[in-house]
Amino acid sequence: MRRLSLRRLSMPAAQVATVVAFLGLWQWASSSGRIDTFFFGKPSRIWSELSDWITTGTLWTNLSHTIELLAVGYLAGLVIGFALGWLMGASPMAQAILEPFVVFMNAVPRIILYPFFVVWLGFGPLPRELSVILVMVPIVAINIATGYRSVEGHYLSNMQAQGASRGHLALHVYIPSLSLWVLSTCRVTFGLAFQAAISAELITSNIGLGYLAAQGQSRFDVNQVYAALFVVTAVAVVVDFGLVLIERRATRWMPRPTGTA
Amino acid sequence: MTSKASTKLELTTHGVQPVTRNTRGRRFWARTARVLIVVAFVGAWQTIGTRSPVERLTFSTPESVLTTLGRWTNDPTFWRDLGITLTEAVLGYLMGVVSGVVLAAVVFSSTTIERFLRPFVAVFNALPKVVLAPLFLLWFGIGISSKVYFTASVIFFIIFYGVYTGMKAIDVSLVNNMRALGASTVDLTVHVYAPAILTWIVAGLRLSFTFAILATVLGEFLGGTEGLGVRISLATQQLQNNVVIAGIIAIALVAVLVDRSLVRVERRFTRWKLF
Repeated sequence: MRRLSLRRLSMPAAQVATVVAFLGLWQWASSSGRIDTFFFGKPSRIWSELSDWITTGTLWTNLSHTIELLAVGYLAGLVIGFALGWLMGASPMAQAILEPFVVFMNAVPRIILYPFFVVWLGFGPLPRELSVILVMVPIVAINIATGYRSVEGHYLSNMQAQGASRGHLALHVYIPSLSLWVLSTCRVTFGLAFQAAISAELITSNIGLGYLAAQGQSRFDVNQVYAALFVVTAVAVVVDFGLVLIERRATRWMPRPTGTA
Repeated sequence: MTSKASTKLELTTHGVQPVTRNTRGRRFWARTARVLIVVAFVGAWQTIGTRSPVERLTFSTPESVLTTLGRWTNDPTFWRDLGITLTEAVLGYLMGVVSGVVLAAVVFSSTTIERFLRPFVAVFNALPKVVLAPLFLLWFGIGISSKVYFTASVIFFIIFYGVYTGMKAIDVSLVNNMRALGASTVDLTVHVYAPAILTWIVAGLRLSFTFAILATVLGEFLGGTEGLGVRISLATQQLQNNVVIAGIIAIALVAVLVDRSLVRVERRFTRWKLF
């Protein structure tokens, strides 16, 4: 028993040790002048940058903006994409009309529209939110339209045989099964929304985590870039972990395909 | 619900579906509606754009965007910019694919390495890779190399993760059967792993190449001297919105053209789906 738990602990120990050794080596090499701190920075300087951000409130101002941008963009993109996908799934006519546009939009790297949004809507949060929404909508719409069509026909027939109205079908069949589609793809769609938010903040912005990184680049301050990178990574990991839990909870009852882990 | 019996079938994007008079009529009206939507959009844009000087500056007009695009077709500097953007995207893509496949193979070959790297891979997978762009620009300057490396890093994670999960999804009985019949690791690589990886790369080609173009343009936008991203970035600063929109349309056209041709490649390769 004891040997087993020791073995189980050895891997996390090795991982932590690697990170610590890496940081130690980096610090030593940069302070002894073995590597150029202009390019590679210095862990202690990154740390002081981060604690500066915390004490001056820079961290919170920029972090909360990025989070707000993500929340607004993600939810709005989800709602609009859901509505569009529902329309395309429910009406073959709407599908025939809209599908080429949605597929075209999906093939275009939509972030590049952001500069146009800036000229149009100014430097506020609106153009950034619009680009996150635009990244989300086609993907969600395509997913939902596919999901709508893949709802099992005999559920619908059974419900209709028992006298269910369209409203009943929507409430008890479509909304639950489509929500599942949304939940099971939330990690991918959130990743894309995050990507869009950071890109927009990098390109032209005066606030947000992406802006902190871009500012570090224009100041030739690699430590600031690393600090911004660290915060973005932390946010990404925390959110991703939460989404894994949601995804697992949402798909727990589903039969798992055998043979795959 | 199209459960009506019909002898004629057609292959649509949603699988095989019966052709009825209904679908034919619908197709005609859908086509008309699409043309009307495009015409209405362009018409509204032209009207808004010519209403006042401010709106002309903000939205430009379809006319002046088309003029800009037309001028570019005779402009060697535009083709040069396009060539540079595409070169960066393709080079970055290839570098990303090669390094991604190699690392996935190394990680896959040993359970210890796999268990060791798992948390690091999870962290990098969650990270929005675009945030690395400033770092690459600091490291490699504003020339072509910084975009190539940045694109490569974005593609690397997509390919590594995809190939890795693809290899894990290979049917164990397939490998065991081959082993039982006396196959060596080389045989397994040639007959099982390599086709599986290739299928996965081709299947992910469309998605990942769009990302490669996006990463390249983003890198150029943040700091560069040549390329379509630089063109748009300069025009944004000079408030020349007809050039901004023309540049966006040019990139969109390139992305869609590449996507359409990759659909063909994908179809050719996934006709025999093994894994």
